[in-house]
Amino acid sequence: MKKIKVFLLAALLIVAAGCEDFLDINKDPNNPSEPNIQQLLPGIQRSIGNILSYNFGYVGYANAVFTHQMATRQPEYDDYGISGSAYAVNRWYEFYAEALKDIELLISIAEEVENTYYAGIGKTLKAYLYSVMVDLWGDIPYSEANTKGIIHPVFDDDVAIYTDLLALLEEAYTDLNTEPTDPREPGNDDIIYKGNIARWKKANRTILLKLYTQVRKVDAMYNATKVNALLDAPTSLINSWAESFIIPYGTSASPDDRHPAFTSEYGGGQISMYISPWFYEIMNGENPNIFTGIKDPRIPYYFVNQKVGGAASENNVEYRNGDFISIYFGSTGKNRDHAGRATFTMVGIYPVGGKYDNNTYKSSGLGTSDGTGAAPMRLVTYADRLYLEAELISVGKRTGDAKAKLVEAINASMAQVDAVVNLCKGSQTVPAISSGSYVNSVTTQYDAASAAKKLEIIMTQKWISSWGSSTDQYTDYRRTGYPVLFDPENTSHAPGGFVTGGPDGSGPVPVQRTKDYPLSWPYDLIELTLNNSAPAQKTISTSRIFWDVVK
Amino acid sequence: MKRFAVLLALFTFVCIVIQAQSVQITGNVTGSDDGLPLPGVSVVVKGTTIGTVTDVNGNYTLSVPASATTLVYSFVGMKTQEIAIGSQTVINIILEVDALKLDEVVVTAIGISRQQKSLGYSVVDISADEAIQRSEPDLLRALQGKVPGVEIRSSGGSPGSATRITIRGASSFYGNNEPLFVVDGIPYSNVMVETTDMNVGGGAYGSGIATLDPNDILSMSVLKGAAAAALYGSRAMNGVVVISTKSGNATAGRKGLEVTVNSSVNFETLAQLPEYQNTYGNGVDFEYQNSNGSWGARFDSLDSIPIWNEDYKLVGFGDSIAYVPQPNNVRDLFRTGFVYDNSVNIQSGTEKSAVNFTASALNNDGYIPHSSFDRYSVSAGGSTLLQNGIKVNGSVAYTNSKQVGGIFGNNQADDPEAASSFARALWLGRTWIMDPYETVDGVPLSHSPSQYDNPLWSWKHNQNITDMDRITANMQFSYDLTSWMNLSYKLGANTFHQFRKQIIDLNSRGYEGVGGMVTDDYKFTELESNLLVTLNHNFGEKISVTGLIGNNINQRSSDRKAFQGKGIIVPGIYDLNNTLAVIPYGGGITKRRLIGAFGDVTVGYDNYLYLNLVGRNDWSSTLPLDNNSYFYPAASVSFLFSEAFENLKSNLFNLGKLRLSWGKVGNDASPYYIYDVYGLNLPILGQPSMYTPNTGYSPNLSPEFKTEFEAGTQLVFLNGKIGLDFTWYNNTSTDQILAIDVAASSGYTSQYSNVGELNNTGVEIGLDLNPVKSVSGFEWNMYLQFTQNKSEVKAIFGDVKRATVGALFGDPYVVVAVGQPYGVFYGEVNCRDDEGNLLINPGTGLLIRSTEQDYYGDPNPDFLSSLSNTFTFKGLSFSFMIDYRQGGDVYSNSIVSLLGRGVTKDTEDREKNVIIPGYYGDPNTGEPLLDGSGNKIPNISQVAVNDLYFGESFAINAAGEWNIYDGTTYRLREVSLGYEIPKSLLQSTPFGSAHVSVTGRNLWYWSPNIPKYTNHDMDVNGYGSSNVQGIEYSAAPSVKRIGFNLKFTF
Repeated sequence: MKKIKVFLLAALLIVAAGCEDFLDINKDPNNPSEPNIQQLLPGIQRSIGNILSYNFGYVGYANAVFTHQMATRQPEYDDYGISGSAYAVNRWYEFYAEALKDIELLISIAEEVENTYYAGIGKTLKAYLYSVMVDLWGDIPYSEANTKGIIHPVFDDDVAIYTDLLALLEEAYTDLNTEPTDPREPGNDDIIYKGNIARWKKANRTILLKLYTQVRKVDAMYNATKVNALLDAPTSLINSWAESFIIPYGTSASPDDRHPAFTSEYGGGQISMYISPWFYEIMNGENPNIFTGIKDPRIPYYFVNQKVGGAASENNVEYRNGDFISIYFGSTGKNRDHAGRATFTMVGIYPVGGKYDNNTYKSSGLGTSDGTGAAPMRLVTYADRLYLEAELISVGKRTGDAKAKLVEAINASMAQVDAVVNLCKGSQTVPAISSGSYVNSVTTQYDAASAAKKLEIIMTQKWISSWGSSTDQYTDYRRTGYPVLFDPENTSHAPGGFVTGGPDGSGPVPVQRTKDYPLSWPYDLIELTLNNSAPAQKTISTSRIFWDVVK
Repeated sequence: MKRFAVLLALFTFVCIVIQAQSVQITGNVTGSDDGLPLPGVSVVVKGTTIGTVTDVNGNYTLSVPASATTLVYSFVGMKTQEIAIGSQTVINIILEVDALKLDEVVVTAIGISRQQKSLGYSVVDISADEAIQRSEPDLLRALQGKVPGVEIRSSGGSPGSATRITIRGASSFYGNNEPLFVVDGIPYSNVMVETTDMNVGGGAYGSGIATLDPNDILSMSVLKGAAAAALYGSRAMNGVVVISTKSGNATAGRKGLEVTVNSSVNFETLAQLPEYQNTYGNGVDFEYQNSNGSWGARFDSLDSIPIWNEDYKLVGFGDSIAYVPQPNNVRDLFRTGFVYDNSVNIQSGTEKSAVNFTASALNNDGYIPHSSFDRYSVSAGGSTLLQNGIKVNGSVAYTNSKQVGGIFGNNQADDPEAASSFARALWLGRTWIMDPYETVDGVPLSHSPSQYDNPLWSWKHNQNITDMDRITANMQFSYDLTSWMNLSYKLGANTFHQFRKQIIDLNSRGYEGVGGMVTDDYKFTELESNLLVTLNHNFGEKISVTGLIGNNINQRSSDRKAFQGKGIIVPGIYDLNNTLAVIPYGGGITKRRLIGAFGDVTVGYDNYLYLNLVGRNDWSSTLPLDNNSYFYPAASVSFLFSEAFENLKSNLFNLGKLRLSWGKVGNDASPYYIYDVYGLNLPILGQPSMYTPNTGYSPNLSPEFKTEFEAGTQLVFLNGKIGLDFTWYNNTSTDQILAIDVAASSGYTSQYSNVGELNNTGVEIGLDLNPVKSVSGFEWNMYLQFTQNKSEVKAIFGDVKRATVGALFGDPYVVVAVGQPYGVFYGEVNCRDDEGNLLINPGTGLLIRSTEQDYYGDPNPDFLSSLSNTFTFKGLSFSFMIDYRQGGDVYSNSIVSLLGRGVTKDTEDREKNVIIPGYYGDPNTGEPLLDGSGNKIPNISQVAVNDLYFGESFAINAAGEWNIYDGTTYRLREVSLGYEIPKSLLQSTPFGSAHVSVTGRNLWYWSPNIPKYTNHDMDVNGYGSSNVQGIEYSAAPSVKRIGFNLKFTF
């Protein structure tokens, strides 16, 4: 009995003693509890590249379809179908919860420790990313977004957000011009510019120029003095390919550092990025409206044909033009959905680090061993800056020689192809691009064109140049109405509702457009459901962004 | 017999038998029904714990104190008898069958045995026989349809795959909704370790309970309600399944040795295949193409087709092959699998000590080639009464299981790892030849290698191999402090180590064709300590008091390390060392602790009225330190009105009992939900990187609670010919701890909080009918089971009306929504006018996708019911069980694919055009188009039959609403024919008893509301035991089995 009592007492003591310590074991031993700005930065930059990428399900994908660079079988983008539950629209959460929240954290830490460089980088990225969101959606949560304790952020007016972003870019510029007191300087953690603050300043000024150009029809916001000042100091802007604002990718497959569109298209499985015949025919000089008879030297860099030398396709194909094989926008043809992993023309070396089209044939289709995936995601390049200037001159917002700017821009676009190829060619032998008489042929047409046509040529060249980075292109189309896009309802594009199927296709293909052009993107349905401050879903065929002024 | 003696020597506790100052009583117990000896009858000195059980021959010997006056004889299914000892030393007893089951004893919380009559809540006792030799190696599936209030769903026919069990509906929006399993007093982790999202290339993962050897099970009780389970504390929210094993309950006093051998062999095949059309081959628009769909040319219209790809020439094919159907190409993918289940159980004992030993081997080779589940287990336990009066018992069990299965999930996901072996398996093109399936170099042969791996190749090369070791051990000391007070202490451990390797071989569609693997190493250990003081005292003749107070300390820790290797270097070697690059693939360590103090008291009055009060307080490590203590009570009443008012009883009405209970159970959080942390990325271009997680934590979490009210009655009529057990319950869980979805613009996609109110109300009916019991020995027993649970989400969080439980590529979302049942489907729908007519796109003749989403399905069944019939005649018995499930929507990728690919007879009638009934609508606005006089315009646009099943219509590429099918299913779940060989025939053999049986499982099913020829099994569920239910995405179809079983003792 005695023993038992001792035992009982001991057991009770164990229970009673030190409960607090015994239970104080709830700190996560697996993850850091303190943030570090130098580790936040690379993740932020990579996230931006991934969100805007144009592989299936990302923002660029829908925009490449909407600007007729790409065709798709996915009903959520084909025929301008895009709903609030489309994959690309659902990237909404990545903008906020993956990129912008980390940017806000970076800025707040940097300001706390007075690290002006990190603060300036953070603010520049924030302004860029929010401007892209406004360009897609218009009114969005901004002033209350990413604020701890607010779960229903209000949707701010797009004009107010843009106004604030312009100011934020200036604030960032001041920060970048201020020596930080905090000893940590950006270096390799800054995967965009490797800590080169001078280049960050140029990126900042060029993004500012881009935003002013986008709002050029909004008199209350456009600032001619500022724009002229920026353009008068070209060395303060992105002034070479090397200074371009791009997100780099690498060659490593594990951990996967490659361009996401390379992984998705070359990584086995079905392909989802079909090249629009409209885009191809314009580049191939086959469109009766523009660049007729001028073959673009970028074709073998942009696209890679799989059925070389007229080889038979796996199945009947909808569109075939020599070795180029694809499908149409709005097609209801019977051959649209056939399997063709080893048949369809794929996205090439230039935008994703795939294969250069050297006319070699591979029976099983292209795979990850046919490229490296180390192509960068381009946000704002030197060529883009030149096109902005050419546009401003062409519409009279800036004095100067638009044609000369166009030539500079085209040349920069060609050089950009070589530069990207050099980053990602790996063991492939790829010749330097030979633009030959291309620029001359374009300028000859330019000289002969009306004022409106001149702008069309500039914007169409920019459109060609933008392959792989389509989000600004969607904005540019809505701003300027150019390039002319394929329209199944247009009798000269599709007489009687049929297109030809290409010179080597299986015959006429019925096409249709049952929906109107989306003037903005629909809101993410999850946001609408969960955010009590959200407006009703909009009608995208009529809902314009503030800068989309008919003028 | 010698070898058993050796085994005994190994496992027997050394024990010393002491002769006390007492009287020795011996005797024999037989049953009144057949006059045969009854083994296992409990013989106890009334008012004490002194007792024994009868041996195989019904004999017992018991030393009783000189003071003892009465012996109590009790046995399940028999009427308890009390005999005055007087001066007798030999007492032989004939026990009568208890048709009313009044004194039946069940195991309740903390392993306490209680008489059914004293319980104010529903506890279902399941015989171990229900779990073994039922042609079902999975313990839970063997119980499907047998327990009112319990829903059990299988995840598919791959051996060893998980089974989901829920009791009285879900109590948590996102959290664990499965009951707590307690084996011999120690919690038994039933976690399903998910290595890859089961959406995209996961396997048919198993759940933890699969490592428990059913052959070692002695009894099982299901504690369904809060009042029944409250003593178990924080983890009892979803009910408790209490399992006692033979090893863990070796009972002293049963002299001699009994050896039981169970042996079964089962053959298994895929339960039902779709009925295929063999008129049209692959292609589109009646034209041959090498496409996935079989919408091509008639077979009689074309002689030959080109060989699918060049690789086929490597295995002897020419440039073209005959254009003929392959009617058995799906059937021929599969094989006849088998299940061998063998076990030996040895029980032996003396008056004061006992040992029990079980060894089992289960080998299941699935109907899918290369799939298997093997389980080997040994367990041993013993008990002894020490000289100083302390009773010591303990047991230890070891199980090794190995599961080998293919890769499942969705194949279409734009994920480099996706390579489902069922991507095409059930809807193969009607022209496709699947065997040969690889070249000499192991390159898969298929008609479109980028789209899918040949399933035969895939099952051989792409495998999910899970090897699991589990050890459970416990030891208990108990001591009678007084004749009415007992002190006991139990310490137990349950630990498992699971090692998984998930291989995608070179040349697969997945992993970019370069091959790779994930290894996932998961260790889990649970320690449990229980200190109990139990009281048992009678005050006078009428008042009895039983009670207990106790303390519980629990610690759970896990350690997981997973790695991914990409790029297999040397073919055929599946080791991380043989890959080009290895990166971390998740993991981490967790630890949590819980301290509980509890008390329970039952006061009984005159054997007809019982009041039970329970209280428990828990302190948890996972809650904020200053708010980590929480208390919850329960109360229940049992009133046997037929005993209280004797004149109610007649030959017509024999027994009536009323149960009422109210209970509350609290629960804590998972570890590490309190403090915000930052996530670590893999290096980006060599740079270390971190991020803010999308889920926010909360320092203000408080415990969650579930309260339940339960009322029930048990009625017996016609001397046991009719027995009815009816229960109604209503439970509400509140303040659930979960990461509720928030708008992403807040910076988080989910935020931990105490949210939600979820209500479940339901009825459980068990109707026992014994219409025939003839003197010749023929007996017919029927048992009808009915389960209905209705759930309703009452509130989520603030003004939030809907939150996501899971999503399948954005359509459907499985959601909780205010006013809706738990886990309904929400997603893409087509436009309709205000009268519900479909709107038709005038440009296409097809449907118009709505810009809004809507609710379109509810996976919760309206009710579940089953009917069992058992016929026995002498030693012969025949039984079968039919179950019926009414409703319960299933999102079925298989049905949609069968239709969309045009392979079944459902779509054979196709040489015509059709008009979808509806009115023309504007595709931009989704509004009806009106004619000049403002009327809607009926659709007259014709479309091909193919278009009905591919595109903006009703199958592939359609809005999610068309993927929903009604789950109503009739099923012949179980058939069994058994024969107990008469003992007279065995007398000259070493066998004490022998039983042979033939069993069949899932022999037939029929779902009336799905396309007729798909024959799809609506029970199959793609997400294992997770909360996402009712979604079937290329899961392995179900199995049917026929088995032969042998059981003998000697």
